[in-house]
Amino acid sequence: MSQLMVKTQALTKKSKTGFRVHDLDMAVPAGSIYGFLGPNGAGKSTTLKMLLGLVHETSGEIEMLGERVTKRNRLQILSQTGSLIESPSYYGHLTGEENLKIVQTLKDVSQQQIGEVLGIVRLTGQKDKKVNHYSMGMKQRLGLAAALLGYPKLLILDEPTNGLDPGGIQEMRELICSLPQKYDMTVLMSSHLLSEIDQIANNVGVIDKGALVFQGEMKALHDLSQSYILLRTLDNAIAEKELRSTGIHTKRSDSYLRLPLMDDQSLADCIRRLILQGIQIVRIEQQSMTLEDIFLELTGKAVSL
Amino acid sequence: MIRGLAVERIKAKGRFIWMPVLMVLAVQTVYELWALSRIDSLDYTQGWAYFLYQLPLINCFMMPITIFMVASRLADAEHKGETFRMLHTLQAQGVLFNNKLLYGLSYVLMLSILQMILVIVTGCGLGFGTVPWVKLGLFFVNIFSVGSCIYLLAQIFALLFRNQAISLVLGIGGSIMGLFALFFPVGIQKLVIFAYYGVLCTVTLDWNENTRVSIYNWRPFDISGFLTLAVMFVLLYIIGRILFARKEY
Repeated sequence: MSQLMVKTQALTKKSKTGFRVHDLDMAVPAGSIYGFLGPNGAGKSTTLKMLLGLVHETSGEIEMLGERVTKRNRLQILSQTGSLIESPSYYGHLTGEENLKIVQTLKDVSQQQIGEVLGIVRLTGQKDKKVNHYSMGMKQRLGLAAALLGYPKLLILDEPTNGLDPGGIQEMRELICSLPQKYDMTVLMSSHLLSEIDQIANNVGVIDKGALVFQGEMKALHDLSQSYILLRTLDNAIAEKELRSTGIHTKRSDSYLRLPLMDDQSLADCIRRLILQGIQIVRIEQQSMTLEDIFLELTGKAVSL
Repeated sequence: MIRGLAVERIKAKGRFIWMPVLMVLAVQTVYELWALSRIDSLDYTQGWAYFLYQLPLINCFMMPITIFMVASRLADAEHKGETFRMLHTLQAQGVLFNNKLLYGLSYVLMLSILQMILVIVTGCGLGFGTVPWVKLGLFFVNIFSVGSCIYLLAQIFALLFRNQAISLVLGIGGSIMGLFALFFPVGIQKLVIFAYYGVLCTVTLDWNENTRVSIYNWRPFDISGFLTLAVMFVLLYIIGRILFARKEY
């Protein structure tokens, strides 16, 4: 297994109303773009805030950059990370450059980097403008520029495309995708948009009701999208019994029976057997599970596209 | 620490933090000049004592609101820009609390120095006689120590509560409390931070109802009052820092 940039063990946050995050074991491989996917209110932001120490965990352990995070070493570890949590943080009465000057001074990195990160997020031309006069997309890019100062090994982004127009979303996605290769960074980003994670991430963790319901490579999630066969008869109950007696596991899905994908010969044999038993077949379809179906199955909730 | 203070200085740029400081000084100058134009020759001979009696009383009323305004303006930029969650990943909460306190106290120091200069220049200009440097030194201790304690209290509220109207209301309430507490016995005055301008005042007024003559008398500096204020500062600092450090974002 490759080196992990973030590892949590049984991470839990309990509030008065119940668990906001429950026994979360997250593993973010180095050099990856890890998409942290989940419906609104699933516990994504709380988890990321716990990683950054903005919210105190009730129990569990956090390891970042190979070290267990404690109160004592938290800031030393975070000095090698950059973050953008929820909406961007900024001083509206100062210019973009002055905002970055504050972060640069606190991170104790060279002043030259301000110009570099402004270039990366394409804000060089707007650096002398007061941030109050920036558009939402520009503020978001400024937040990303601040996170990039010091070229951290790990970048934690919470819904970085929130509030952006379609052009801004595309621009932000391209920027995030380029970071691991160009600057050797690991990106951990959350989103409630399945399509976004699908486009950007190569690793994914799906969280629902505070618990991780899937974690692995994006490819593994795609692999779950197996094809299957839908069969509809005039008596599904008898058909199901007959198919089970031959070792074929079926699952009821509305007025259909769901059969695993099989080769043509096996399917033909099945159909013949059912017909011989007097079962009348009215539909046979082959279908594939979309990522959306998988998400729905994992979380039981519809997902935004 | 120097880096932290440099950052606070950048943040304060364009916020006109000095505006309430200069405004209160201007009002105090106008008031003093008006009051001086009405004093008789007896008052004139005890001009320094007159000044050092009047100013702490005016401070009781004007300083709390001014200091709460300064603290509120310094904290407001952080609340408006949701910057605490960014700063918390870059510096310890306690360090941020200290930097903000030190930077804010620099305004209290500036205000105290300017008020001293105002007293000295006016007193010398009007020919009040030999400058009572020790008394003026104690006056400086009074305004700076009480101002610092009020600033600390103001900072705690300004940082903990997003709504800065709370600070404004407390500042106004503090001004009123400070002034009215002076009508109560010293023991009660010492329970109210805002009243310490009066507690640490080194002049008393003896007003004769029959002759309607005011005699200003020097009195010793209230060391026990000063120590009580110091204890209040330490307690407020510990409580405020812990509450701020525990805050989640």
